[in-house]
This record gives sequence, structure tokens and C-alpha cells, in this order.
Amino acid sequence: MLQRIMGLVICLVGWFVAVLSTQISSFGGELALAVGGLIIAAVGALAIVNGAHLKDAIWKA
Amino acid sequence: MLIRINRRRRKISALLGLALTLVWMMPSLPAFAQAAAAAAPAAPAAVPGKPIPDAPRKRSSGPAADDLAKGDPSGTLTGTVNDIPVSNSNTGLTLADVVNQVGQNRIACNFIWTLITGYLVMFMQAGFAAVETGLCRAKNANHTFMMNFMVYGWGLFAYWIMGFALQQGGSTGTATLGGLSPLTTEFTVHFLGGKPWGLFGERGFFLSGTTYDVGVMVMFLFQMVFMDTAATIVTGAAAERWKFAAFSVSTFFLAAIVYPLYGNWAWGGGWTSSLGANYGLGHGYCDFAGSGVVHAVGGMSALAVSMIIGPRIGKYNKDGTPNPMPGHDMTMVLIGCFILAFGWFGFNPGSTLGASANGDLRIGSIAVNTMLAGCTGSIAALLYMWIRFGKPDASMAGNGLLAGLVAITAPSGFVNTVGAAIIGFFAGMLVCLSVEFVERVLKVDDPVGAISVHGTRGLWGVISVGLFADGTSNYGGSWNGVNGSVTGLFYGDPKQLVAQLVGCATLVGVVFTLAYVFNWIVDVIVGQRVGAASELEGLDLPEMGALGYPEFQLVTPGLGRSVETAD
Repeated sequence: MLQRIMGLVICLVGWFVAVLSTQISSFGGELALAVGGLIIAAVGALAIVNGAHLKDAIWKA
Repeated sequence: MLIRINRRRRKISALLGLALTLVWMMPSLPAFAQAAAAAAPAAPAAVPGKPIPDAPRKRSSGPAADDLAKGDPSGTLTGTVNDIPVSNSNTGLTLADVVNQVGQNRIACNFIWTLITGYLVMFMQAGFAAVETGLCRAKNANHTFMMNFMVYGWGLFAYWIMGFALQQGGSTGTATLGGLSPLTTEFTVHFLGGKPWGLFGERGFFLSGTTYDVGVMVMFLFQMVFMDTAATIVTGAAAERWKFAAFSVSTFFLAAIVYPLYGNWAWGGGWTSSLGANYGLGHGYCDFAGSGVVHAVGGMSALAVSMIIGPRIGKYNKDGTPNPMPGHDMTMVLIGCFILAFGWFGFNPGSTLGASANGDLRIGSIAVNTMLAGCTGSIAALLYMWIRFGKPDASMAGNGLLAGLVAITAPSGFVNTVGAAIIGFFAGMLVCLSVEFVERVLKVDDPVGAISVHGTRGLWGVISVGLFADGTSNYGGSWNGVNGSVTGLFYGDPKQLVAQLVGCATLVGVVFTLAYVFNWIVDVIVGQRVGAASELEGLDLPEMGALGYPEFQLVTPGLGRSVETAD
């Protein structure tokens, strides 16, 4: 359960990082933050939350 | 006598010509039309009707009643000055009468366009039902079809209660539909840099009170069928093992809260649409018809539900390698794809919300973009599978078609045909890779490929706006409150891409989280997954109480395969 919650928190952190791109003036900085935020959010969902489910997957039983 | 008739005709022509010229020259035509619509049906005094000094004060004569009584086979007697309502029979036809009629005709044209395209989108439910049922095994046919069927019921009900209000409750100003003046209130907070962030609307619960309005009803119908599309995506990814009760609760929540929130942020005047006006990121998040709002929201929710309920029994071996579980009716799948492609002509061109306003004649371009992207998507997927596996795979060709259509949904109103073809081609190719990635790397079981078709292709569609928008669209001179046309990176505005990426991060970061948390709660309280015995038997009898194909004997030679033979 802890891993799932952690994954969801990382998803939200990723979103926040992407939103911080609104506070940057250079295009390079904006793009880096937006892409970085998207990647962090994706890692939270696909690696961490999904990883928690794979630990208890029915096909492993 | 002849001279008098000609003189009268000239006066009528002058009257109509002047009226049309005045309407054409008015800088605030939408506002003027709204007033006209608000005062219908009788031409009202509220409209600034300027009588023409030499206009006929009596009603101009059209065809005589005797002539009309004889019938009008040529069509020349129908639709004349006789058909323009006169507000005051004593004064006769005035400029206000004519202008009001012009305004009402414009709004009527937009109402009809929006409603008919909405009906087309509603028919897509049949396509989704056919595709998803065909891609599932016969023992789950009734269950899968019924989920697609009841998405309409549960979704509509939830959206009527509160979803529409949350999404569109603050979206006043839609000039094409008469202004939607009752939708006035958006809940707003001040965030990063003290800028206003619209979060959700507050008007329109139960479509009651002031939102009992003709324009609001049209908007509701159109937005409702879009929401329904998002909700039905989840049923495909969770098919063959989802409890019908859990599905019902989950769909209600999606339609009531998750979808409307993101819909508000993008289309209801919310914070992502304001990224341009508030922070200078192009025109803010732009999603013309819903690659993100509809498809990615559905895809992210599908991902969350699929993770929570886990894969079907027999899908994965103990070493994690997947087993194929082919569907039972490929013809149903392909017919469903065609129905969806047909419905997409409502989805994308209909998103202009009218055919008579600045830039709305771009509907032809949007329709062509839509068909092109679907075409190149199916070709790309077909070629990919043919080259890689040696056979032109039918289900992936269908998914390629849908992937192209999903991807072009957001950019359809902003790109040219070359851009549309490229977007569709990449979508078709990438959907094949995405299906493999989801199945083999993530080990998330998605029987119909919904996560890849709608989720990842939805994100690609959102990003492609930031790349391919060619700066030629002009819907009234501005978009999301920013003057000028939406322009992507390849055409000179790199900041638009940033806005689109922020939208994608919101979909993955916030929408996924919301969908996951709620479905997790449902899992704890109701339980999302059916029992193993029901799953092996097929869900038709245990969950629905009736077989989809009662005349057929279903033989299951091994886990994950069903063979149907006639009695």
C-alpha cells in the first residue's frame, strides 16, 4: 500500500514540476521542466504504482 | 401596376440588402445574435431595430395565398418575405424584424449542426460496443456489450446531476450557441504568480434554474456524448473480469467528477486553457475535439482500473510472458471501427459548435484531416504488423485506424492535411509499439488495446498540436483569450508545445491519480474483480444472468481460448 501511495504522490509531484514551467522565461527551461514533469509523473504511474501491483500479480501465484 | 410591383420588389431588396450589410459590418455580431435569440420568437423591441426611412411600413407582399394553395413544385414560392415574422402588424416589416431573423437563422444553423454532430457521436457507442465485444471472448459477450450499453445510462445520469455543471458551469461566452449566458460561475483560486486558476464550474446542476436555456441544452447534449466516449474506453481495458456493480460505480464517478474536472480545465475556462493568457504559453492548452479531454482521460482511467483489477486468468505465464487471447468476432470489430470512423465526423467537425461563425467554415478542412489521419493510421499499423509478423493483422489495422483518429482529434482544427497525415501515420505505428509495451513490459492486461489507442495516442494528439498547428485557423480572431491563430513549434511558436506538455503532465499526474484513488476505494468497499470461477465460466451468466449467444455451445479447450460451434 505504501508503494502505491508513494507512486501517486510522485505522479502529483511530476505534475507540479511541469506546472512550474510557467514560472520560467526561457523556452529551454520551460521545455525541460514540462518534459521532466511528464516523465516523473509517468514513472510514478507506470513504474511505482504498477510495480506495486506486479509484486502481487495473480500469475505469480 | 407592373411598375408598382417592381418598385415594391426593389424596396424589399434594398431592405434585405441593407439589413444584411449592417449585420455583416457589426463588430460584435455574436453579441447581437445573442440578443436576437434571447428575445425570440416574436421580433422584440430589445433589439435595436432601425427602421429604414423609405422602407415599406406595411408587410411586404410575398406570393399570394391563392398561388401557394396550388402548391409549389418549383420551390420558388416557399421561403419568402412571408416567412419572416413581423413583430408588430401595424408597423409591418421593419429592419429589426429582418435582423432578428438573420440572427436567429445563424444560431439555428449552429444549433442544428451541433445537435446532429452530437447525435453522430452518440452513435459511436454502438461502434465501441461492437469493437470491444468482438475483441473479447464469446463467453463474455453479453457482459462486455452491456457495460458499453450502460455507460450511456450511468454516464448521462451522473453528468446531468453534476458533471456538466462542474465542466461547463463557468463557460459563458460561447457565441456560436447564443452566448450560453446562464453559465456564469467558475470556482477560481489564485496560484503561481497570483494568476487566476479556474478549477470547476458552479452552474447547471440538474440543468435547473437559469440553465433551463435552449443554448445550454444543446451544449449539454454535445458535451454529454463526449463524456460518454471517455467513459466507455475504460470498459474495454477492464473487460472480461470487471464486476458489473463496480463498473457502474466507477463510471458514475468518472462522469460526475474526473472527466468534468479536466474538461473544465481545457474547455470550460479552467486553468490549462489560461496558460497562454496567464503565462504566455502560446494559446494555452489547446485540445480542439478531445484527444486529451476525452481519449487520454479515458485512457488514464483505463490504466488505473486495469492495474487495480489485474490481468485475466491465463493471460500471463509464471515467468511473466503473455498468452494471446484472441477475440471471438473480427467482423464485428471491423464494423465497429467503421461506425467509430463515421461518428468521428461528428466528433471533430462538430467541435466548432457551429457552422456559421468566424472560421467555422473550416469544418471541411477538419473533416478531411479526420479521414486522412484515420487512413494513414490504419495503413501504418497494417504495414508494421505485416512487415514484423508476416501477416496483415486485422485487429491492429482497426486499432491503427482508431489511433489515427484519436491522435487527430486535438489538432484537427489547427493543422493542414500534410500534418494530419503525418500525425495519423505516427499514431498507427506507435500504437503497435504501445500495445506491446503495455502487454510485455508493464504487464497490464488490456483486452482491446484501449490504453494504447486512447491513452498514449491521446497524449500524442495533444503534443502534436504543439508541433503541427500551422497558424492558419482563425476562429473569431483568438483562441483561449489569446489573439491570433494557434501555431506549433514547426510553424514558429515553440511555447505552444510547452502548454501542450503541461496538459499531458496533468493527464498523467492528476487525472490518473484521481481515477486510481477512487477506483481503489471502490475496490476496497465493493471489490472490483469477479471471482475466479465466474471468470473461467465467462461473465455472461454469473454477472448478467443471460448468455450473449444462447444458441451456441462454447467450448474452452484451454485457458484463454474459446471456440464457438453451432449446436
